[in-house]
Amino acid sequence: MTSQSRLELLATWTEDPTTARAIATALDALWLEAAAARHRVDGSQSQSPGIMRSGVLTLLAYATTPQACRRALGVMNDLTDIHPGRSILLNSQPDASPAGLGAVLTAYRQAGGTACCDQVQLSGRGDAAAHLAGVASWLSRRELPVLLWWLAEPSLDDPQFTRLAGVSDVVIVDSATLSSPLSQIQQLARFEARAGGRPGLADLNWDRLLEWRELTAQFFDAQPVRGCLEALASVGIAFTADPRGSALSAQALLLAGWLASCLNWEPEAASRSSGQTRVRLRRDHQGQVDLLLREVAGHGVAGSVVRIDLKCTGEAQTTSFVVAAAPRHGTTTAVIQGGRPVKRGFQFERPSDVRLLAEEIEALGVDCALPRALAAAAQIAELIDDLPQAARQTPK
Amino acid sequence: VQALGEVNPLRVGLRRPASPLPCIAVIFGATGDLGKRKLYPALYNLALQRLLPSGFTVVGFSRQDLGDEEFRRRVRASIDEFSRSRPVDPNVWESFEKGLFYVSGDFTEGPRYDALARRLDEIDHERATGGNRLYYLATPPSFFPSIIEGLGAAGLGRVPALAEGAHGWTRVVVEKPFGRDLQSARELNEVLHKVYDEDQIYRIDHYLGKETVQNILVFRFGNGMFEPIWNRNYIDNVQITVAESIGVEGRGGYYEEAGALRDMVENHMMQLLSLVGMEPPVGFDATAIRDEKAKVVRSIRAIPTDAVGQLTVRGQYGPGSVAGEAIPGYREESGVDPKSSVETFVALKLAIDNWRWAGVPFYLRHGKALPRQATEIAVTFKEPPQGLFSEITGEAPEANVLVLRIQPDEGIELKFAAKVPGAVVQLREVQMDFLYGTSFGLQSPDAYETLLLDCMLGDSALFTRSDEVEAAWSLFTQILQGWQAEAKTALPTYAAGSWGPKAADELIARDGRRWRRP
Repeated sequence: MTSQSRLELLATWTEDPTTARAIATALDALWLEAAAARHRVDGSQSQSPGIMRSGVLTLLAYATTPQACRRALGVMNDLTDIHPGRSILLNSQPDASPAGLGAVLTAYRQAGGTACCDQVQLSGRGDAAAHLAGVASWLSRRELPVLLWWLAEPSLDDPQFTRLAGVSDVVIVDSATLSSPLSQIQQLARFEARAGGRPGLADLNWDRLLEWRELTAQFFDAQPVRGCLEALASVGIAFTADPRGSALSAQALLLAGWLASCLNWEPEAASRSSGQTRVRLRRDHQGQVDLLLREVAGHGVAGSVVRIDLKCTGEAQTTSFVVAAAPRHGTTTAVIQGGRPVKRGFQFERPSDVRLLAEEIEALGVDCALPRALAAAAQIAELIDDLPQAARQTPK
Repeated sequence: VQALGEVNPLRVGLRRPASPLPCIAVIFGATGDLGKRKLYPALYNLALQRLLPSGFTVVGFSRQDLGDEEFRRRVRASIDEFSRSRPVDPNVWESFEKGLFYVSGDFTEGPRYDALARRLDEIDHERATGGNRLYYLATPPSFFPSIIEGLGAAGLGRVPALAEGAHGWTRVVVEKPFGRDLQSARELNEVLHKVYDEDQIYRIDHYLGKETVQNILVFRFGNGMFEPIWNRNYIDNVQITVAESIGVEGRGGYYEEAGALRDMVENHMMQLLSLVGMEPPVGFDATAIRDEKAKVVRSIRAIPTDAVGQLTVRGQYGPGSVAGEAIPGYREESGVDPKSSVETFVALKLAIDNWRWAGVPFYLRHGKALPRQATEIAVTFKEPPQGLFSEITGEAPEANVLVLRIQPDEGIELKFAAKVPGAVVQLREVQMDFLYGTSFGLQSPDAYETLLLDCMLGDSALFTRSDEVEAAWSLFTQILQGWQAEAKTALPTYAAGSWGPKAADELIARDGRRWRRP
């Protein structure tokens, strides 16, 4: 996977103000021009395949700030190199004037290859911002999946979100951007439940947990150890503190929700004290599990999970499983019935947006674990959210 | 949770391949070239991708007297030199090297296997590998029987069914070549079956680990549009080409024993043929896929000894040049007998006697020192029933060709006719090209990574079964015998850098066809 785009520019077109129809016509003209240029270079007798437009999707990227637009463009270029298609940047500026739609079109070819693709940068100013969904729909490649990458904080109250979700097959958000994870995780869970997969919901923050889930699952692949899952009595999830002051991390909630949904744990009670949240979960057969979500000072992106501790009780000898990560490396440690710790080091790097989006494109939003984990995380979040600020209950 | 016994509930919905259970991989021939170039880099890369479990262990077994530390140093050096991911990550290496051990011994000495068994028991206990064992035979094939018998005598063979839960699984990986002819392949199978059940035996052919080879199955059975026309009604002929632009390059000693037929055709090319020719399997599992592959190999019409001259061509390259570089003749290569009659080129015409392929010739061609490197399967379709355009243009359009390119430029190409824009009806061949590299900007795993992981996971779909191996040898042993009978005839030679002997062109020209120039 590249981190630097290997695209060669073929042709560009700019118009402001413009219309969706004019842009579509310009796109066709752009390709004819690029093909003609190629024929002039190759000669009329050439057997070369000429211009070959490749496409596996339309990617819509919605951004509202210049920083988000720059981020989106960088990622779209790299992503196009991996999964060619049409990418459309939707820059919504409802407060800008004069009102109107601006467009920059670019045709690319993969360096060293023949496959070509295009990019559309749209800026919707004033009233035109409200029509970006319609323009995006007009310009989307026919019969190919449309993925919406929402770079702003996702909000179900935002009509733009609803409109664009309506023209997309998959909506990709990043719950790391949530400023109020407790309430917004519940919102996302409701959106997912309502949508029922149409559109599918993907979350880059959830995708960043993939390595954590994989490493945790690996502990229990061996049949003799699998039984420990039924004896788990405590789970600790540590995450880096958020300087914005949010006391909980969406990622930590999702990880807890994932465990709860996989192991049929029901949240029963919660309590909070400075930097720590305790939740008591009931196992479906018997017993309970104590979940501790705690923030820790440290490096790394705010809200990122840095450690998970799983412990079994009821045995004279300790059985525990730990995954701990530093910025570049991590360690897994398993201690079975007081035996010698089995440690393993691993590379740990925060996956790039390009990699995460590429994986979402490959999966096309199909992730049977996310809806369940999100629903369970929302249940936990609701329990914590309902706590009176003054009264802090301690689970028994 | 209800399925705790069978399924790890934390794996449900994980977008990652499953990782195998902790195990010990015992590499016989641990100091050899295969380990150095392929196996250790592949295992390290699996570790790097977190696809190996905690406690995963490698025990090297070889004749050289080494200690664990020296073995670790050598494995590290091989990863430094040959791994696709470099430099070595110190953190991953630190854990990986703790799982590397070495036992020295002669492959023919029984007591060394007892020592190995004791060491494996110790490691099982220390590293919690649960008695799961993978024995990898990366030695010259002459040692295979001794190693298998040694393992069996030391109690490292099949696990009694009742003890499986307690003792884990045991699998043995056998490298190619699997025998030199039908008799030796049968003998090797007998030796193996005395110690292991068939489902414990993984005969490896690294071609099957290639992404593009696996894609043949997806292309044929994952798309609705090709299978209906994948038969004698629509296909005129199939050409399978494995062209190598290099000579034997220092492997003269090995090649003198093998030759092109044993080195490439009997194994790799038969895998390609079986994947192209097989019937749809009833499921995507090892038994169903291997059943169909074996069936198609069994359906290939035997070539009687006296017909070998008409249906096969062999050749040997003489001096020449490829891509502007001089290449010495085969007989001038080191380790090669100056009077060698070993073939470096083979062309075959095969017929598959079943309903799907009756009357469709399969032309196979493999050679060394050919003008370019190319592995491809070209499926040529029949011409349209009516020459509608030949009356207008005066020429018939060329037949449609679908090419599955295995390497290089991995992908799929479809050639068809299109109208040249203009007032006059004029047809021109155009190509529709799918390139793996441009559609998926992802690095493919090395074939050995795929196959080692499959073996540890107990998935034998990409490994060859005994009946398939014997069916292939049954066919090729007759060809070898035919060649032996005509040994006094001078071996046709071809200049390095040409597309093989003239007789190869004549073989296909007799049917009114010609070889593709990939």
